[in-house]
Amino acid sequence: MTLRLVAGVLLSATLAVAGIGRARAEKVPTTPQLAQVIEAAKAEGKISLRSTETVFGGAEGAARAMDAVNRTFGTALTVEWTPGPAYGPLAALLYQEFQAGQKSSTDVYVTTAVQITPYLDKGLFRAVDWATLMPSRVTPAMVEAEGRALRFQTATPGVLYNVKAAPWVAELASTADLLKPQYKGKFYTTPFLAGFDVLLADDVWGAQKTEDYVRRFSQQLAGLAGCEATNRIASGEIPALAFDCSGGAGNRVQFRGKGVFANRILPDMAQKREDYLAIPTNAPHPNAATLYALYMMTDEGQQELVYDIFGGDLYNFTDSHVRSEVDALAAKGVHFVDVTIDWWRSHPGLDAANAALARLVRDK
Amino acid sequence: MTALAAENLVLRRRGFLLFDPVSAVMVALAILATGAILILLAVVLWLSFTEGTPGDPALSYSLEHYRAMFLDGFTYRVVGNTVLFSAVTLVAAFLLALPMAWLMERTDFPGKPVVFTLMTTALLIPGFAVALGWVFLLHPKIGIINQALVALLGLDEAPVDIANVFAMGVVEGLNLTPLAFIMTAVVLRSMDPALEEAASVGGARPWQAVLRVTARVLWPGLLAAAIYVGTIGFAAFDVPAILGLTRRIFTFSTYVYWVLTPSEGAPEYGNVASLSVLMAMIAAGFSWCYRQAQRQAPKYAVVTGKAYQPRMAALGRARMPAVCFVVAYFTLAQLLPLVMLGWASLLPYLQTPSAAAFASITLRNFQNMPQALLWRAGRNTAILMLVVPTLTLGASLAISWVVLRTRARLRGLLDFLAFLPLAVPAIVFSVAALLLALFVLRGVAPIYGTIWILIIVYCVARLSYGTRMTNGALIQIHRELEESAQVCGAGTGGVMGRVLVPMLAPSLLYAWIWIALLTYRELTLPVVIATSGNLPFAYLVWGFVQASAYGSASAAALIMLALMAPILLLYWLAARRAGMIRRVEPAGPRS
Repeated sequence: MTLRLVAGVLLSATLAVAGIGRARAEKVPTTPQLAQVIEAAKAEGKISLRSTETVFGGAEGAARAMDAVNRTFGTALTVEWTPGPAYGPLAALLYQEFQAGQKSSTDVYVTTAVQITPYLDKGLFRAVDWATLMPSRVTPAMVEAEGRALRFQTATPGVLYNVKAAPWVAELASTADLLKPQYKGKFYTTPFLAGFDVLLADDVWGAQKTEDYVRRFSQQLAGLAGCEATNRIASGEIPALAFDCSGGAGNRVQFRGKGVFANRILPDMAQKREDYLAIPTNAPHPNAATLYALYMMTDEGQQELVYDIFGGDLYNFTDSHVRSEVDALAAKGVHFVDVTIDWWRSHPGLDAANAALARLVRDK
Repeated sequence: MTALAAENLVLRRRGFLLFDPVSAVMVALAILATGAILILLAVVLWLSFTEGTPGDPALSYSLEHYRAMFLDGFTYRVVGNTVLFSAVTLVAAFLLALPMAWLMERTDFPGKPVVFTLMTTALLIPGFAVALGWVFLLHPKIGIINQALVALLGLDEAPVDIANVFAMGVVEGLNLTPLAFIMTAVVLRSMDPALEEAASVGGARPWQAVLRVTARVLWPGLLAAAIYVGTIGFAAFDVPAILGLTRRIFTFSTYVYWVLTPSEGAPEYGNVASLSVLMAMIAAGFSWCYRQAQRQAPKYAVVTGKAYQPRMAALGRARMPAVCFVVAYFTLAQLLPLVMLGWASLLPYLQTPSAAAFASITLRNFQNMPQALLWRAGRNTAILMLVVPTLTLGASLAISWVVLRTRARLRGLLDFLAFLPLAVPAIVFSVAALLLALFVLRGVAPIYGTIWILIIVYCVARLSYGTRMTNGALIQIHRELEESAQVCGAGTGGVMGRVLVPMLAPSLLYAWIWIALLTYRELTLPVVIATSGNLPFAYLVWGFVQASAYGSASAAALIMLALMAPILLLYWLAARRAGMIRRVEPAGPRS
């Protein structure tokens, strides 16, 4: 009897959750242009996605996204997700496929200003009139590179740390604190020096100051770890990562509210780094890809895929979590460098300079 | 011997053979296989002179990568680390493998089929799992042993740190012990124990017989195995990546990977290619050493047409220590990683055992495994495991036959080329194959995105292993057997079909199994060329590892192991039928 009762309650709860999920399918106003894209996507029938496991939750995230896209736009698309390389190598592969006249191995490329900028003038990505397709959510300010890149998330990198293994991070007031003797050997950084590329700009720190800092910083390091090492930070193997790529790990649904992570934004290197979605010119399913990208811009997409999986969302939306965090710090006088494609284009040579700088941290 | 047969034999020995279709096929196959290596190496060489991304019209040429490589002190540090790491790996692997092979092949050790089966299973356990197991034991922050020592002794810091080249080498040695074991066992099996018995009759003690007779007779085969295992250590990736990379201890493979897969910017193919050229030159040195050893080979041919039957020595009181030794190895090298895999697969993120960790145990990693992707990856892996070893061994046998059984002028070059893939990182071959498929072959043979590009690169990458195995086995077979067949009128086809292949069958089956297993667990090779249409299972696991999703990676690895169980059973039955796994024979004098 008790078992039946428990089973009944569980079943009811499951159905209720499922019902809530369906009820939350967001109604998107269908413009004539969007209707054309939806029809074309239906004809394509599927979407191919390729990324690292950390981007949009890998296969599980892709399946969730496609279910949501189908509910939102009334399509019946299937998704084929394949593990792939990181942003930089994937861009190089996409460009080689483009040059060779092959179809691209992904319909949607998730990236940042650093990786996409070198390919914007080479015809690798198609221009899309995003604001016309979904004027209710997409404003011209969210669209960059003449429609070739659509902002979907704003990252705020800081020192990502395990609150139990590295409580000292909460006391850090500036980057200079990381050079104190008591912190030697207690934190890691990324092999490509995430966050330092912006500091190299003359209107931020400049090359000399950044290099001087990195030389001393390198001596403090315990080692190197990628931004995908969140599980290793959670386990305490890596107590702190200075600096993380996104700053949102603690907000991800599996860690949220559990007191595992915190992200410490240091005022003297505060950055708002935009993340983008782009569709390769030779994408096999460009219309399905367009719907996928548009879904990420919906209220539901921002909450259930971008925020739950990445731990961030887009600053441009007034109800953005990142916006409230950034504005709160800005009110205290913290200045954020807004790293957009235009900003990156106006500071040429930073990626090469940062690659040279990264050689300093590979040596012990 | 008839006059005609004798004349035929003389002609064959002098290389004046009239057209023989089987010989022609063998030579063509050998040239085709080594030609593929040569082409891929040529692309690597070309890449080493390029500046920019291949395919980009702005691509230019310079010697800058070589200049930078030789002027960068870091290159020498990486090479030094790699040499030390591979030396420790070699010593650790053979310290364990040699005694175990001797126990299995020359004694009445109990439960040999179990040991052989477990050794085969060992290669199925991904290297990253072994490395992770040791991280969980000895990491200064989260290692169980370190934490226990700190708590017991009241220390401020962990007393043991696994992130050093020596420890990495030991862990890799544990990983490669099955490979060293299998190569050593093949050599031991091929040796006629009458030589050892003669030493005993002459008054030599057992250890004297081992040192003065066994070791000396076996040394070409052991040298081949040592060169092979040492070179694999040179190119090993997963253990240095997990234990060393985070602590800035680079070996050649992790350095190449680091350069080739940047999180920002395009991969520096030119840098990687120039490093690979350097390593290929070092491999050329190894190849030359191997050739020198091979020239002595005929002196060591011990499988002849005369009576040959190995005898098992009685272990007596040494049986229990021997069993303990083998059990200790399996516990450290296999059981521990499997336990760690199981533990990690049940957790949302890695945690050391605690009440909180046990409370968070879940099957989510298994439940959320993408089934469609698993199916695609499993199907591709099955194709690769069937086709790659078959093609590789066919080509390897052809190369070994040309090298060891003909007087072809270029046979030395063929053997030299066949060895090189071992030292060139597989990922570099992948880059070369990718560029060839995209920009050269697209009109002729559109293999990009198909399983064929993987088959070709896997075959090329495994040719060094295949040829070392077929070389080693052919060396042990005296030419008098083939000459007898030739005297009786057999052509090359007859000699191959009735003499060589039947005698080589156990070795070929061994090699087939191991190439299949190496194919199954290959991690880095598909990184560049895998697409949605051809991705193999191991790449799926590696995708999880790269993302530090150790729970999902462990769950996927366990699923891989479960899927492999029926295939392992088939292997085991086939091996037993072929005599690879012997039934325990009574000790005593040979009848």
